[in-house]
Amino acid sequence: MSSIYLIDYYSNSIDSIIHRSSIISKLIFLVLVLSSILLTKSLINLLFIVSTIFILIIVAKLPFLKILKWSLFLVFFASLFAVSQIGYGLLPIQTTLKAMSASLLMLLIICTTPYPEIFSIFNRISTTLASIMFLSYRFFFLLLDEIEMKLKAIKIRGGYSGSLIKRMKNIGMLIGSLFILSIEKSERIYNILRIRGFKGKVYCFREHEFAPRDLLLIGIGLIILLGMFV
Amino acid sequence: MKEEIVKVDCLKHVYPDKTEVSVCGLSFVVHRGEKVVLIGPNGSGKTTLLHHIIGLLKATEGEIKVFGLNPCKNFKKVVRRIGVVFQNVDEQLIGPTVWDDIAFSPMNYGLSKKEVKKRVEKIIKELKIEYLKNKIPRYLSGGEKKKVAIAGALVIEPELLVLDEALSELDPESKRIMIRKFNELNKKNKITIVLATNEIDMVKKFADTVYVLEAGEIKYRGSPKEFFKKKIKYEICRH
Repeated sequence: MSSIYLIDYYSNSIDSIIHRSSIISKLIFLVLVLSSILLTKSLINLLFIVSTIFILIIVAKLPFLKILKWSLFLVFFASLFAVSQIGYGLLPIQTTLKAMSASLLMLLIICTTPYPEIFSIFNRISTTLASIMFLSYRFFFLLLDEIEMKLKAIKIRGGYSGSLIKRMKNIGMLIGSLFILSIEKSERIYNILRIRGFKGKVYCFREHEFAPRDLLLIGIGLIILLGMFV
Repeated sequence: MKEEIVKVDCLKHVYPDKTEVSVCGLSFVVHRGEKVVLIGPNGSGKTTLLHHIIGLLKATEGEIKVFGLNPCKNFKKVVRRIGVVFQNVDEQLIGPTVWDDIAFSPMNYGLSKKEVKKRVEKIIKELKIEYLKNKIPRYLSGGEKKKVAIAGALVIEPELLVLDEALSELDPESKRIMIRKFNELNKKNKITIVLATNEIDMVKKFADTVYVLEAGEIKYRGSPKEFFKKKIKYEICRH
């Protein structure tokens, strides 16, 4: 089973002060910290941001190593870019750290916020945008399931044996069938959503109200941002 | 005379790949408060018929009325009154947790949060799925997913319940609970139920009326008693 499903599990099944914070405070925190990551040119500041996010991941009771592992996907691509910056002093390290802190930050937010809560906030901007995001998210997971099942089927039916060309042919067949299947599936999912009453607006039942505890995240965000000017 | 909730007359549907499915023979009529079991082998047209009743498919030929309306043309009006459980429940479960999933339809139909909470808690208790309420649908077993989908269909308090192989993956105890619940809702709220299945046991346990569908033709319509008395030939569903 793809470990990406764990995002849903972490955001819904764990209870921590970060999980209980309102989506508004999380978004303010996100904007403040992301701005700091973009603005800073100091390695010390970046290290401070990364360590703060690490602490928040622990406070949120998220599995530290798993989150770190996920963040490394982005770090890998950033490091490819950073290689081209070798010879510019600390710049390659800064680039890598910036990518790492941004991906850790995003993971912290999505692993502590159920997705209807995230998407429902976009209703305030545009219900269409919120619907697109909701449908894409929903579809992405179902498609992942399908890919996983098809890959298993190919493996079981001997699709990975034989020459490289033969194997590539089988994978090509899989991609082709997935394309057709994804069109059919999207139609089915749309119909199911209509049957279940979806009218283009994402609702969230368990939205956390703004409370004094939200000041914690906003406060940390402000400290990080002000740290850039010290 | 009881009100006709569903009426299907010689339906024909052509899929884009030119596969033709027709449901002809005897007419398919479901009255208010009736429990209908639609039995037939794979590919006999059960799901096609149910999809027409829900309004997902448009008939190429024939006529279909649900609550006196064409469900395809009056989809929004009709679907609000129908609870549906599909064969593949994976696609039907939408919410991030079981609780959120059950609350999905009532929230979208604009019920107040208080009312949604009341209804969700009630149905969770009645179907004895309290232990699932905070779980992530993705990690549930096939049978548990079916239970959640049934709860999601019942929570809107439908007038018509359309179940496509809805009890097929449940263990005997869960099946018993669900059948008891359906019977109770049918008796108390006069809910009309159409259940498509290929399990012959369901005829005995559940049906007021049985329809046997074979190769797109309604071969038999009658009471379960008559169905067993006449020993209707239906070899595929005899396990």
